Amino acid sequence: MTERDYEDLLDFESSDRFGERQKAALLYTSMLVWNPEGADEAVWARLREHFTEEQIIELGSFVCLTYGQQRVIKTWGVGHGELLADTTAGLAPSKVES
Amino acid sequence: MAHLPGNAGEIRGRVPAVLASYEFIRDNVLRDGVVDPALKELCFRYLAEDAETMDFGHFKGRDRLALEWSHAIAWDSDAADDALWDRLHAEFSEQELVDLGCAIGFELGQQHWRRTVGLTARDEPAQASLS
Repeated sequence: MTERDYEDLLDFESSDRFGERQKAALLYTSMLVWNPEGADEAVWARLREHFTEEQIIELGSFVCLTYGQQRVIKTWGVGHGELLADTTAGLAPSKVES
Repeated sequence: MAHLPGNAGEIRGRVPAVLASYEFIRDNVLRDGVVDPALKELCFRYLAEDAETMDFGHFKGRDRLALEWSHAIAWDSDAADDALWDRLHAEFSEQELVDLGCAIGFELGQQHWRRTVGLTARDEPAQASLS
């Protein structure tokens, strides 16, 4: 990813690179990681516009599983996508596709 | 206010793969593994900001080190500096560090997920068996 990609991700609400479904998923991710109690009815209404409840449960589980392990490997001094980088076990897109 | 009906286990159960993956992690890492489950439980209570665990001055040895690492994982990864790692390696095997670190990470993620869906970070003890 380029610097611009990261900037757009962090400012996803005003970015024209993401659709409304992607923005709802990114808002959910933001709440899961940084502000769980901030996920109010407005956030959930927006999620329900684009996802079934089962999809919301699955996406939330995936995000939190990834978030927790990212926090651990950060203290190991390992970056995202570097762990098991020579296998297909990681989540880096280039590894998933290979 | 809960945004989805049911307790944590019932919510996960609506997506079988989510429930199965959680149960595998719970049974093999959160409640089992090479590190004493009581030490993991202490770390999980700290992540949930249990008042009895927040003052590191009350703890010694492996307990205190595990809490310091929990703090670094959850809130301040820069705190996991060389000095902390030297102390961790002096008290824990590498196998234990992998087990404990992964357990802390899994639990941290689960607590965030629970809070986002409107549940408490952890179940009350009487409810714990249900989740």
